[in-house]
Amino acid sequence: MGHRELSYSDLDSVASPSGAAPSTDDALFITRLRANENTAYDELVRTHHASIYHVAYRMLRDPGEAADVTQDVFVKVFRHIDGFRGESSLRTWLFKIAFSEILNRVRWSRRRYLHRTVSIEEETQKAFEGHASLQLADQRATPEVELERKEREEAFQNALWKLSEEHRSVAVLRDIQGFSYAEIADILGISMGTVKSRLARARSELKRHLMPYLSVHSFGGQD
Amino acid sequence: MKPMTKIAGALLRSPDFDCRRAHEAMSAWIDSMSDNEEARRLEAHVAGCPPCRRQLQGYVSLRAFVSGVAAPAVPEDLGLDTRIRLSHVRARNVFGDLNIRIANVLKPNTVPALAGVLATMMCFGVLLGSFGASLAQPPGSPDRTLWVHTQPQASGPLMFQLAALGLENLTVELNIDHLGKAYSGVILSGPQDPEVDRWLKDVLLLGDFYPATIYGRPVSSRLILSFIGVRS
Repeated sequence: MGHRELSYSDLDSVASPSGAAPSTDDALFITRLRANENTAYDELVRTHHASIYHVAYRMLRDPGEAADVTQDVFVKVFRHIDGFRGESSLRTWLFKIAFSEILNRVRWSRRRYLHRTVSIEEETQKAFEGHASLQLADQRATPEVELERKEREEAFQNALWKLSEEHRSVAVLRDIQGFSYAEIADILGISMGTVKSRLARARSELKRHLMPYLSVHSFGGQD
Repeated sequence: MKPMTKIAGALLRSPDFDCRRAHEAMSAWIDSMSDNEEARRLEAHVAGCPPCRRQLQGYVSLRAFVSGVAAPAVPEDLGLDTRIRLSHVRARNVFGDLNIRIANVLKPNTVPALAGVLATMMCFGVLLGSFGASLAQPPGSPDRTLWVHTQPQASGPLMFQLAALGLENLTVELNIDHLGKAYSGVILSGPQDPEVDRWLKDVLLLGDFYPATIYGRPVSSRLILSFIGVRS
């Protein structure tokens, strides 16, 4: 199923199956954003930039592109805040914009890499940068724990990368960001049934790729 | 192995909820997104199917694994860089932008544009003058001619003949055409002298004048000659 293209002012008009309208706090915050308050935008960036970066990184696997996308998302929020009609929560709307940007980048990268020769040095450097971005995560861990943590992260990212962009999207939104099925449907502009089926497929694939890392023992009844 | 209940056993043997259906239902069950009926059927199936039980455990383990994966470290300056970039975008005023663009376009072109306008105005003024000259009154028109740039001038020996008459004073008005010929005249003041009348007739018949011109173009005009006698 192809990704449906929407303009940013239309994104909010997609009917939200959960009917998750913005809370009173959200409504007040949106009013402040529309009034172009400095503190409101600072707060918006402080609150959401990390989660948007995480999602972008998981989808794009490139720290530089993830950072670019993160900045672009907030610029677009500013430019289209007047088009936000409050039919979904601000966070959902934010991630709608983020995913629209991310998926455009994914498609653009795919077209670019089809015509590009990748050098071994480049890939090594990219992998090093990817690892470098994790090195400061936990300074207190022992080297063995740290190595295991890096291995798991690398394995997870590799497994995620093997999914199609549709399956990767639902997996990232559900299993990493914790969005509900209804919110995921809203963000991606798909039905709840499609969310369920894509998530089932994504998890099945992830489980298959990550089986060496999973512990499987008796659950519920006996063997 | 725990004995299965009759109901569980019946569900397990139900052809419409086989292992394939069970696998499909597991993901939603983990998220508590299955409806009650489907959840019950899955649980009953899993209770009596070890392979499916391991599959379900795999999904549970996957969820634990993913939740334990470290989040990628956010670049230190990303928040600050984002706020700076956003503040630049927010500070940009649409009309300010337009003013700057207009000023950047106009400034280098202001002097040449002004020179062009002035040149156009001058050319237009010259052309307008030419058109005005072309509308100069025809011979015999009683209206005064405008736009006379050079006055008609008397020439020839007829002026000396008048001086030889020895008049105290005389004022004569002559209408001169574009060829420099006087076609009418009237004595405005002076003596009633037959010599003066004769002279005036000679002027009208034989007199040569330099015609008035407008931008070099000869036009009809009016000439007033005034003579005052000076005795030594």
